[in-house]
Amino acid sequence: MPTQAPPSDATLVRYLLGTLPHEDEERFDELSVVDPRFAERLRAIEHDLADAYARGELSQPDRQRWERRFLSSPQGRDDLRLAEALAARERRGPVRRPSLPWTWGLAAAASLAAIATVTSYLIVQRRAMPPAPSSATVAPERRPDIQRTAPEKPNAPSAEPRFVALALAPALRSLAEPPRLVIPAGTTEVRLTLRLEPNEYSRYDVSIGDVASHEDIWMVAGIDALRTPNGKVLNAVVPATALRSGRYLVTVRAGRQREIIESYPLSIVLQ
Amino acid sequence: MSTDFDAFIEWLDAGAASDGRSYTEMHARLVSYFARKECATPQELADETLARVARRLREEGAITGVAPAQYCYIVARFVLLEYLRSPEHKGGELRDVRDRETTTDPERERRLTCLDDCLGRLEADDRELILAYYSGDGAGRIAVRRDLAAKYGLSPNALMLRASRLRDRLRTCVAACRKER
Repeated sequence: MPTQAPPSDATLVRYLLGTLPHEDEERFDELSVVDPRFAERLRAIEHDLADAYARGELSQPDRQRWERRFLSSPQGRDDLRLAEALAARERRGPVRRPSLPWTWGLAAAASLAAIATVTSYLIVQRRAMPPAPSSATVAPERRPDIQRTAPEKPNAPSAEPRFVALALAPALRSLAEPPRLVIPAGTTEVRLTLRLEPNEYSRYDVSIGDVASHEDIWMVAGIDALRTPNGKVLNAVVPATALRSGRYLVTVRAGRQREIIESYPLSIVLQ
Repeated sequence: MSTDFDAFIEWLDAGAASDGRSYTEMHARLVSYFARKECATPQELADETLARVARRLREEGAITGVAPAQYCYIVARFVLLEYLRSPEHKGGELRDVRDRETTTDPERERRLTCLDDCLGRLEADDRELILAYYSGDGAGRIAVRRDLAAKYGLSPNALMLRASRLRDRLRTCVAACRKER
């Protein structure tokens, strides 16, 4: 196939709206699947197009083309919902939400300064909780100190995320039994803080693989490491719905070849 | 799991040893492909495509003469043609537009709340970048993005890709949040 100059953004917009000649459309269809860089560029333009639609910047014919193409699928509708929400937020301005004083940076630094190896704790924002039953924690003879608070009533309606957080240090990787994280009912997300040994990378991909099936059940790409006095850490938020009771391997990759930088065995127990 | 699946991943990696990353990325590209083709069920069609490729690999023992990604695209085209001939996709677009038009104010509020929550989970730098990158109107965005590229020391293309990846993370987070509420 002869080398062709990269298409302009305007050409890709026409492709996304379905107004290119059939021959070009087929060529870009193929590139969108076989060429990861082209696919990423296309996706970026798709975001801008969704914004243009949500903000009323498209002509009427293009609006109709966009609707026909993108509202057919759940993915397109999710794109539109986000575009509309971003536009609405910009019109309204940011809302001061007192429920979000917690930041990854502070939490990671605090947790890593306070603990030597691993700490599992459950945080319910802005709530002081009584101690949890001991059955909900990791075995004290096998695990370091545990700091945790109990969730409020599992079924109580709450607008706040309910999460458990776990900090993993590389030193634990050699343990025969992996750290165990108990996820109480009603938990919406698991926040992982992964401490890294020194390396030259700044951005990482994190995936969670099911040890039994060898399948990745969750993945996030392009996380920036946070520098703390104890070294670099990564923070990742995992929807609790992605997890089942079982053994997992959290893997951190980086570099052009996506080589494995760290891996952390983990046992999950859903309550 | 099965060694068949491992063999499929190894073939898809084409020697790169991505440890499954090539699979998830190919799946995502196929989902986007089917979505752009106005398919109502792009996830399922992407699953079907990769299942057929894996089956073929298992049956034949090897697929030669074509790059893995290229072969996935060839199979995806067949899956698309079959879908277009099926009755299940008829009439989807009008129904979907109507769905959007009936979005209620409480639903919009929930989205905004989810958006604020998900933004709150990003690193401060990332939050600032994505809000700035996608702010303003068409003309104003050009200047904003030029300034952002200078501030972060990124080329316009690198900035675009970083913002786009962040936005996909945000989209996934907001969609999950909406389902929970």
